[in-house]
Amino acid sequence: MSKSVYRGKQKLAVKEFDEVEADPKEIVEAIVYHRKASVREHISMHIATSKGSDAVLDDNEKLTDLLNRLVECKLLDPEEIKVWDVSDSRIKMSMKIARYADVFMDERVLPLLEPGYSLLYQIARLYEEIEADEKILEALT
Amino acid sequence: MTDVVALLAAELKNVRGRLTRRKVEELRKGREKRRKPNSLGISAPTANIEAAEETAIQESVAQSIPSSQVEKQTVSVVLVDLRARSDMTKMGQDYVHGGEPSILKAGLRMTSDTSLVIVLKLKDVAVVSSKLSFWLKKRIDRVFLFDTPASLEVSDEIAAVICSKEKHAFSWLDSAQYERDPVDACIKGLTGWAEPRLLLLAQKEVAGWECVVGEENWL
Repeated sequence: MSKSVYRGKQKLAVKEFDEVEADPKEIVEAIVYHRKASVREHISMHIATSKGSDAVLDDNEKLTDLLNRLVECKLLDPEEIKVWDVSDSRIKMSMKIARYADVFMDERVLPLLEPGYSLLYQIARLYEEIEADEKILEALT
Repeated sequence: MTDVVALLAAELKNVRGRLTRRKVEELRKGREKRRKPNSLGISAPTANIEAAEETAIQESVAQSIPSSQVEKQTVSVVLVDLRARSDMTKMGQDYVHGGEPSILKAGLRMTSDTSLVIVLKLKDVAVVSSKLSFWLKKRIDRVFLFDTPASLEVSDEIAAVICSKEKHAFSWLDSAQYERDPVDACIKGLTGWAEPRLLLLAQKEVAGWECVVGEENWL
């Protein structure tokens, strides 16, 4: 049984781990494939968090229910929802990451990433700053 | 229209080793630091216009100081004596690129390979750290104390702050504590190692060094 791996749009076949030959290229392809897949999934999680939060933001009861459930499944700390402020929370980080999902999913960026709130959030902020700088540059030239 | 994703990918690729939150944060902070207000008061972008910006700074400096000073050659070693309170007070003021005093304009003669040694009181390291960009330095690489502290209170201890790619060129500092004057010790240690050498806030002319004495530094 083999798994499918994509390099760009080219589909490659990679053997199951116990059948992988000692070919570093093949091994790394498999690792990168799984890392990319994990980042994709991670970003999907942020999109779900962002959209879900947006949907209940104006309904206090539903928002509280959502937050409690997020605490229950260890996605938020109880302390985070005690003094709940959407502008200063991990949900805000999720929202920003979700906003730049297309950037993260770009094939030039995706292979460089690892899943993780704070890394992706910082990259989103870096993207915003580069974008702002470029806009100013375009206006000046 | 600029391909911002390509620029982002290029910046991320340039990061040494794994991407971590801290490394990306440093990239952002570096970008912020390099973003300086231009003559219109607009914060100008950095990465792609650094070269243009440097030229603009050079031009602005060329207009404000005699051309003979601008055309002076690049220096390999810069030693700054910032022990005096009055100098540190002036150093602590806010300066913008193009409007800085000549002590900071010396950065125009420095490159990333220039070694910078600053002698100061330990409590003033933060002030100097905020001015490093004028000298084209990003961070302090090493800090040496000239004396073994007598107590835990080290604010007024004299230290040498070093910004240099050289890792082994400062071994003479180990014995510098035996010299009577820390700046004399640095002059002695640095003389003969690399040249040209520039001594800022010099108290007197020193052989083998180009010296900028006293108030000339603050013009």
